[in-house]
Order: sequence, then structure tokens, then C-alpha cells
Amino acid sequence: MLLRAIDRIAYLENKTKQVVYDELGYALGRQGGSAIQYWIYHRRAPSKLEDVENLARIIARRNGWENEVDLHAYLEYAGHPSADQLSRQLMGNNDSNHESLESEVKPLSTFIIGPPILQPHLFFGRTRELRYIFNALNGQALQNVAIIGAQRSGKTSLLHYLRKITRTTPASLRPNQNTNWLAQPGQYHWLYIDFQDPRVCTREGFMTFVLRTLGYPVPAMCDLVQFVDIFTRYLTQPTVILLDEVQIALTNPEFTQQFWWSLRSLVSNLTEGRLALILAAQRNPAMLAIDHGRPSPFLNIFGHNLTLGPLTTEEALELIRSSPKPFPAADIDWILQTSGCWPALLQILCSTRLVALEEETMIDSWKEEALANIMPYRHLFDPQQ
Amino acid sequence: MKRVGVMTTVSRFFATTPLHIGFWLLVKPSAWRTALDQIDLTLPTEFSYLSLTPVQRRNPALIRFLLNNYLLLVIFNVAAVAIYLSLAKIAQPKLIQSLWLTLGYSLIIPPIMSLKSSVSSAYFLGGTIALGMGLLARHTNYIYIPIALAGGLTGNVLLNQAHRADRWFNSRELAGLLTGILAAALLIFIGINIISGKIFGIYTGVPGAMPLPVRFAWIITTSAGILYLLFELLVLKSHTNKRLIDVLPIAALEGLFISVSYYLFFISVENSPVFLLSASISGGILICFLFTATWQLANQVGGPQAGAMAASLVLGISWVYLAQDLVMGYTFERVNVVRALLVTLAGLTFSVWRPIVSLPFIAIWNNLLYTLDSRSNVSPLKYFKLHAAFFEEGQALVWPGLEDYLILQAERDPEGFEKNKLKFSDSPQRRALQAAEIELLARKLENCEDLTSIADASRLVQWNFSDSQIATLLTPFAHMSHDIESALNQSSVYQTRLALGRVRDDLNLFQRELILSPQANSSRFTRVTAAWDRIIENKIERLTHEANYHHEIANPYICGMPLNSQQEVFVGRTDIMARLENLLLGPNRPPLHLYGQRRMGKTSLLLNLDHYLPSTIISVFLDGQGLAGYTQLMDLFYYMINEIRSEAYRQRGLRLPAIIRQENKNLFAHISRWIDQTEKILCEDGAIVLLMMDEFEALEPILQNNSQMQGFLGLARFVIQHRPHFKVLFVGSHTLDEINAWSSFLFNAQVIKIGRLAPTETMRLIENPVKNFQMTYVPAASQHILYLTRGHPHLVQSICYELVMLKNEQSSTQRYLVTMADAEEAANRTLTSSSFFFVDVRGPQINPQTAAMLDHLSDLGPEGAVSRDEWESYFPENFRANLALALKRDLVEEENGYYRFQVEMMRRWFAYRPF
Repeated sequence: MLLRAIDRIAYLENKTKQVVYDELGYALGRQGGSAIQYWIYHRRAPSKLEDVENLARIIARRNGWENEVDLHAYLEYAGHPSADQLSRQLMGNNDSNHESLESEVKPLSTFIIGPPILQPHLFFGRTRELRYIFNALNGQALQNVAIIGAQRSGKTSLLHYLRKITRTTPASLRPNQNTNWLAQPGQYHWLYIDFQDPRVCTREGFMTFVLRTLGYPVPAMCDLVQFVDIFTRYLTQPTVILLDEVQIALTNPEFTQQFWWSLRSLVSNLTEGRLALILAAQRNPAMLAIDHGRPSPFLNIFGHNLTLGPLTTEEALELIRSSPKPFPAADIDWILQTSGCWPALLQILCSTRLVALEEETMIDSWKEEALANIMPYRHLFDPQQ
Repeated sequence: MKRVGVMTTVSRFFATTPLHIGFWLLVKPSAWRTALDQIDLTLPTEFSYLSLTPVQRRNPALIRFLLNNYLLLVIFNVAAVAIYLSLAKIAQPKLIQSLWLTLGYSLIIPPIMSLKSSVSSAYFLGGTIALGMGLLARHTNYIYIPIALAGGLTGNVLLNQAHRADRWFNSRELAGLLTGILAAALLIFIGINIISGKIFGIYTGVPGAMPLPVRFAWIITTSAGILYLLFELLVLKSHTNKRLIDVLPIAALEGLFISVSYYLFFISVENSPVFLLSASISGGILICFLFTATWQLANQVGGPQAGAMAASLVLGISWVYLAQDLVMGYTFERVNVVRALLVTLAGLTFSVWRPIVSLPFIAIWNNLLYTLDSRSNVSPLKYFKLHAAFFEEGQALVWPGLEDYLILQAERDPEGFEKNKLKFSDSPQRRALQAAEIELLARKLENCEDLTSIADASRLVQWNFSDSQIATLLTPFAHMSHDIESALNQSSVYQTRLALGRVRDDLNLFQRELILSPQANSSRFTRVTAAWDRIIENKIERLTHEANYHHEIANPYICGMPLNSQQEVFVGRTDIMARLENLLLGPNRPPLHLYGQRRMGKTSLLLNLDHYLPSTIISVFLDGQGLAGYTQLMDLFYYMINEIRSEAYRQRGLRLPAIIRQENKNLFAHISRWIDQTEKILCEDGAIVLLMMDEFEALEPILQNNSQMQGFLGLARFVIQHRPHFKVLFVGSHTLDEINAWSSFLFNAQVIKIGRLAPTETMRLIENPVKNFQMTYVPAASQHILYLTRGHPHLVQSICYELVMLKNEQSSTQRYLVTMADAEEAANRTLTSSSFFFVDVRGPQINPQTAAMLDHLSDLGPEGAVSRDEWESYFPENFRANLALALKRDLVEEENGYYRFQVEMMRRWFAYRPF
């Protein structure tokens, strides 16, 4: 089992087995790969439970286990007392998005008002932006992208879509929805962080969350040096961290200049182009950084900035036409014109129209209701945004 | 109908003959088991009639089987002897005598052995002895040979059935063997004294000196019958586990048989039919008894292996002695004992030496079959069923050529091959099967004609090999097949090419591993990797060719990230590198300070430096911002030292001394000692450590108190001045007056400024960033980008990145030629996509007054310039300082008393003013 897992890692990461032995050995805190080789050639398992677990974790994180059965067999062979639970946990964690998406049942298309869109088949448009972002993630070295857009412009939905789309099965999507954005999507790790989440509001909370979610070891007291050190040693596959509402972190005194410097160094020098950040903010964070005296060198690594505007007319029409009941042509024109093709407004207007159609309201009172519904989002039409 | 019925009966009668049974028992034991299963699944492989249950005994199929073969054995023996002796032109009286003897032995041995010993041994003992006695009747001195051979072969069959033919004895078995032999010797001694009449004082001294007087004959034969009865009772009881009274009738019958036949032997005329029959019957009974009694006794003590060997040896050797008293014309010679022993052992070890001795002959036979089948083109194979692999079960070696035969069958008759896989899976020929499977798999993979068939291989090929070595060998193929499938499913040609390129890299890496691998099958699979490599390479070439005309352009530009040595788009800077090399190798030892504006390519230069510098320089890259998390100077030093050690080993294989943390000692003194030790090693090696401290200003927070700062700088100064094998290159974007803490240290530093790229370098980055770049420019377009950026590396990368994105949005007819309009559109997009860079320039790097001055200048339009006086008249407050700042940031330049923007894109950003 162990040999197969190592062979798989070597294959996936274009390394020789000896290098993988050494890396695993170092990751276990040993002087090299000789312990791993000993276990393999003598068909033994580590004697310490801690080593058994750590080895299973590291291999799982590097996609070494072909499936849960292999991992379970290894844990059982090593005499782990809760092999079932751990193998489920590790394999689930390793590929949680994929699993949930594979089994995802595509519900009927409905319009979503309020929360971000989490199901890829309900996401419309942004083809140019997707092309731009995935182009930055597809090269030999990953590049960083900043997405700037007003409130309700669809930043969070776009981040979730980025995270999920390459690993979603075509059966869970609309026809002709492209999933093949990346050459080797299975190799990428994705991590979404919302700085509104209280767990990541402190520096230590952020570091612990990142390490834990990526399946890296988490020290009891995680400081910046340890964080950088663990990240550097453990990051072996392309990893994309999506930072939502980054303006909160930039204005939070918890995240010091040293923190941003470390993050910049990690992305640009220490991970050999295997780590990318995609941030989303309501206004240009560079301006924000100036306002708050925050370090601009960190933002310098974002060579690509995208400003989210309205959808193209074709994209807006695709969204409108996804209604389970077709809208009259005049209504479609009105929705296009009134929404300015902003996705959030399109969703509201389409939803209102759909309800009216289902209730068979004959008069145009739904338009008044729709206009009232989009009032809070008039800021989208502000040219300064 | 009636005729058909007769034919069926005849064919059933001959379906299993004693010849079949003999062949099965010696060569193909599984067929014997199959034959028994067809009669009764509950029959043991080795059984006697008496040891069966009443239900098993009453089975008509079993009775028919035993009787058929009994009858056939008798007929076969008699016929064989008759034919042989006739052909040998033996005189008729002698021939008839031989036939009577053969008949007698054939009639008596099989039923008795089947009844009380074992059915399988009955055929061997009966067949071999009856034939041997008949054929050697004229050579009485060799009469012991067929008996020894029969004993050996029968023992061999019993050993095979006990699955012990190839194992050494343990102590229990040895005890059983000795017990059996000694007991048999005692029996023989008693028995021979009785049946020869010695015990009664009527021993004639010459066997066959008959006829004896009737009363003597009565005494001897009755005594022999009673003695036989007694011994047989014990043997039968032990064999069947029944009460004495239950086995008494059979023992009594046998005793009676031996008395009567022996009596007839004594009283009949020499060489008369009665004489010969009675001699052979009584001899047969005696042989059976000797074998069975010894076997039973040794079996009880030492198990079946001891029983089989003891019985064989006793029967084989005893007759050398017994023949003196029982066979007329026999003369005892000591050498006969050795001969008998050799013959017995030869029979006993028949299944061991037979496969070895027969191997060359059978191999020739197998090869003949293969030749016939391979030439005939008939499917399924006509002669393969005759291959020794199907009948020779004792062969432990893999048949030479079986692998090829199996491959031939797999190609011609896949169903038959599948059946044979099951057949050979648990036999020694399994290795040939495995080799054939691997070869077939290799062929299947090698014969993939295109990428689609390679992609299909992951579904069509069975990869689940339990052998971990083979699994290790095949798993990469499975993964690559999957990856190719995934590559073919990509939506764009660009993605497909990219994914195929990665698979090709994987394949090349794996090919190298295979070449170096000691595994037996590795070389075979290198042919597969070579075939796949050709297919992938061709496909990539084809796609590239198509892409050149129809598809997307790969974007080689990188924005925001430093370019490491893996990236082709790093261009120029050779002048700076040459200067650095001179300074590093020169006799002067000032600290070096590489200074340049942000995004000018300082870090990229450092990351590419070790390719340009001589190998004696060990470059150690340290990112000051990455070290910013350290709060203790001691930790920082230890980290730096470890980096130096690791790079020295990686770049030059140099082992530098380790440093041990010593909390209570003077840190700087401790570090100094390490530097001294390291200096010596570097000096001996002729190497220089170049510490490249990128963004060194970020270290300031660690050196928070003055004493630490002074200590650190003091140590740095000491190292630079007195340790010539250590060089330090400080890299940052601030001038000395902006970094007060460092100014006293760097005031005499050799400053190297990194500025914009030269026009030729810029044009190369625009027009030929990588090999075979697909875009071409109208001359004005590339010149326009040069004009807009004036060689600013980040701006060139950004505009060109946008340009590739823009061209990929256009139709294929427009895609590959860049026009002025394209360059202009890309530049406009860059103002938005690189807004972080521009905001950083306009924000923290200058003050608001300078920004206002530059806004004014930008509004004058392209090439707009302003004289110093005019400019000052608009912005009199701190004009001199603000102007100096703009000049220091390389934003403006002075020409003939007029100031203008150095870079047009900068002017556009100031004019754009989006915030």
C-alpha cells in the first residue's frame, strides 16, 4: 500500500521515489527517507501511532492514496485503533469538494436573491473574467489575480465558482458549461477564506485555519515563522487561496506589516510558483492600503486586476432564459434595460417576473415590485463604482 | 440402434484403462482425482475397498470401475507378455509357463491390494509384478527386479498422494520407517522358517524339490495358513479399525487361499499349470502381505510417508533373500541386494527424477507442437492440448517456450487462453502465464496507434496486478493513460497541448526510471514508453502546427511574480551581471547594494544570477520579507546559516560545519566562530558565499534596538572586510537617505542600479519572449510598446500579457499579427489590470505635492514637457524637494532644461487618475 502510494506521489509530482522517500521522512521529522524505505522493504508500519497518522495524513494531502480503501488497509495494517474514522476523515478532507460535487444532484434552475451562488450550474456569465483568471493559474508558475467589484457585483459567487467548476461533473452543470479550464484540475488545492469569518479575524486564527484546512500540521502555538516554514515544506501541489473581503484584513491591525510581507514572500519566492492568491475586494485595495498605511509591496504581487462590471448582453440573456417559464420578449428587454445586466439585479427581476408568471398576474404590477426590490442596489449604477 | 448401444458400452469400458490409471498416478494425479470424482465425490484419493463406508462400497459405478479395470489389467498383462515373448521367439512351452505365471499374479494381487491396502497401489503392484514375472520367468536370477521396481513405483504413488515425495524425514517418520523394516524382517524370518519347512525339520534345501510327501505338505501349508491368518487379522484390524471378529472372515479366506495354493504348489507336477498358478497365487498373496503389513505398521508409527518408504524397501529387498527359499533356480548374490535397493529407490524417486530426465525430450515435443500450431493459422490451436503443461504435473520448472505458446493462444483463441489462465494459475507454470500476461499487456500498450487508443487503455487493460513490482511498473502507465484521456477532453487546443506536454514530461521521467530500474520487465516496457512518446510527440507537433494557424496563443508573460531560472521570459541584464561578477571576484571588498525601483526586476535578477556567475560562487537567496516574522536575532542567524549550509551542499557538494544553539553564550562571538571555520573550508575549496539579501529593509523591525542593530551591522562589516570568501549583496528599492538605520553601514557600498531594459532587450521580450512565439508585430506596433514602456520590465510584461489575451479573443485570421490598434488597446487594458502597480507609484512612493505636479505634467499630453521655472510657478511649495523625489523615483527626466515623463504609460496613468 505504502509503496503504491509513494509511487503515485512520485508520478503525480514528477519526482523520483527517492526524493519522495526523503520528503516524507523530513515531513515526519526524521533525517531522511531511510525510515520510510525500511517500512516498505520490510513490510512494516511505523511503530508509533503518531507516525502512522502523520504519514497517512501527509500522503493523503499529496494525493498519494488512490482511494479510501487503500488508506484504510494501510491504517488497519498499522494497527490504528480508528482506521475507519481516520480514513473517512482524510479522504473526505482531501477531496471534499470533489466528492460532494460528484454526488450533487442538479436541482431545478431557480433565481437566487441574496446569498452568493454556490452551485456552479446556477452561475452565469463572467466568461472573460474566468478566461483571464484561469489563464493566470494555468502556467508553469501560478500568478495572482485581484478582483475588484462593488457590493453585490458577484465577487463571492465568482470565487466559489472558481473553486468548484474545474472539479464538477458535467452531469451537474448546464449543457455547454465549460469545466476544462485547467490542464490538470485534479492536482489543484483550493482554499476559500472569507475575512468576515470570525475564525480568521486574528493572525493566529488565520494561520491555523489555513494549515488545518490544507491538512498540514498545526503547531499548538502557531507563529509567523512556523507558518511560513510549514507552508514551505508541505506545499507540493498547485494551491489557490481565495481571499474574500480582503479589505477587512487590510484594515485589521491584527494583520501586521510582517504578516503581509511573509505572505508575499511565501507566494513569490518560497513556494516556487505553486501558490496563488486570488483576492476580492469592494474597492481597489491598493487605495485602501494607502489610506490605512498598509504595505503596498504585498499588493504588488497582484499583476492582474479585474474589475467586475455587468454581464454581457448574451450572458444576461442566458441567465434570463434559464427561467423554467419563458418570459415574454418585451419583459426580457425591460429586464435587460432595467438591470443594466448586473447579475444581482437580473436575479431579482427574473425572480419577480417568474413569481408573477406562476401566479398568472396579468398586469404589469410586478415591474413596480421589481423596481422596489432593486432599489437597495442602485449603487451599482454609480459610475464611480 | 443396437449397434450404437454396443459401441457406447465398449467406449465406456475403455474410457478408463489401467494404462490411464498408471499414467495419471505417476504423471497427472489430478486426472485420477477427476476420475474418482466422476464416480463418487466422497471417495478419498487413496483408499481400499474395506476402508470405504457401506454406501460407498455399494456404489455400482465404483464396482464397475474396479471390475472393468481388473479385467482389463489381466487381459493387458497376458496379452503384453504373449506378444513380447512371441516376438522374441521364445519356445512355446516356456511362453505358456510365463503366461500362467502372469495370469496368476494378475489375478491375485489387484483384488487383494484393492481390498485391504489401496486401489491405486493395486494396479502398480499387480501390473508391474505380473508383467515382470512373465517376462523374466526364464531368468530366475533377476526375479527380484520386477518386485523391487513394483515396490518402488507403488511407494512413489503413495508418496505422491501423501504430498511428501520431495521432503526429508522427520524423527517420527524415521522411527516409523525403522519400525516397519525391523518388524517386517522379523515376520519374514518367522514366515520363511515355517513355509520353507525348516521349523519342522523338513527343509529340503532346494526350492521346488518337490513333490513333498503329503503329510509334510499339510503341516507346512496349514501352519503357513494359520500364521498368515493371525498376522492378517492384526493388519486388517489396524487398517479398518474394526473388531477382530469382523475382519476374521477375510483373514480366514486369505489364510485358506494361501494354504490351498501352497499345498497345490507342493503336490503338483513341476511347471504344470496348477504348479505355476498356485506358485504365482501364493507368491502374490505373500507379496501383498509383505507390502501391506509393513506399510500398515510404519504408517501407524510414522505416518504415510514412512509407511510408503518402508513398504517399498521391504518388498524391494526382501525378495532377494526370500527367492532362495521360494524360487527354483535362483542363486543368492550379495550384489543383488544393491541392485534391488537401487531399483527400489529408482522407483521410489520416480516422480523426482522423471521430470528432469524427460525435460529435454518433452521440450522438443512441445516445440514441435508449437511449430505446427504457429504454422497452421488454425483457430483454436490444434495441438496445444498435447503440450506437456497439460499432463505433466510433476514438472516444477517452467516449460521453455510455454510463454510464447500462451501468447499465440491468446491471439488466436482468447477464450481458450482465459480457460488456461485458470488452469495454470496455481501450477508451477504460473510464471509462464504471468510472463505471457505481461507480454500481452506490453504488446497491447505498445500497439496503441494513436492517443485515443492510449486513452482507452486505462479502461480496456486490467491493471490490478497483485504482484507489487508489476503493479509499480504498470501504475504509471494507467495514470498516463488517464491523463491523456483528460488531455483529449480539454475544451481548447491550448489546454490539450499543455496537458499532453505534461504527460510527455512524465513519460520521459518514467522512461529514465525504467532504464535505471533493476526490475526484469523494465526493458520491455521502455519500448512501450518509446512508442507512446512518439505518438504524443507527433500529436503535440500536429496541434502546434494547427494552433499556428487556427488556435490560441500560449501566454508566456508573467506579471507580478519574480521570474526564476525556469522561465524563458527573463531577458537581458547581462551588463549588470557582468558588473556584479567583477565586483565579487575583484580584490576590493565593499558591500554591494543593488538598488532599483519596484517591479524593475531585482528579485528576478537574483533568482537568475547563479546561472551567470561562475560555479565557485555559492549564491544564497534570502528574502528579507520572508524573514520578517522572526522576532529573535538568534533565530534569524541560525536560519541564515542553515540556508548557507544547504546551498553550499546543493551547489558545490560542500559540507559546511553545523552550528549548535547556545542560548547563554554571546551570540555574535558564537556566529563569528562559525564564520571562521567556514571561511577556512571555503578558502580550501576556492569558493565564495554570496549572500543576497532581498528587501533587506524589512529586517529593521527585528533589529529594533540600537545595540542589536549595531551588533548585526558590526558583524556584517567585519565579515565583508576580513572574510574574503563571504560577500553580501543588499537588494532594495530605497536609496541610502531613506534607510537611516543602514546608511552608516552602506555609505561606502558599491551601488549598482537596476533600471529599465535596453531597447534591444525590450524588443526581444516583446517579439520573441520564448522560442517559436506565434505572434508577429507590424514594426510600428512593437515600437509603440517600446515607446509606451521605454523598457520598464513590468510594463512590458503587462502590456504583452494583455496583448496575448486580446489577440486570443480575436478571430484566427487576425490573431497572429499585432497592429498598432492592438498595442494601444492592450496598453489601455493595462492601466486597469495593473492598477495596483500604478497606485503604488502614485501613492506611497511620492507625496501629494509631487503627485499634483505630475498630474499637471501628464495633462500636457504625450511628449509634453515643462520648464523648471514654469513648473515651479504652478507648484512653488517645496518644489525643489518634490522635484528631487520625482527624479529619484525615475518618474521624470530632464532634457535641455525641460522636464517630461520618462515612461509614457506612467504619464497616461497620472492623466487617467481613476481614483
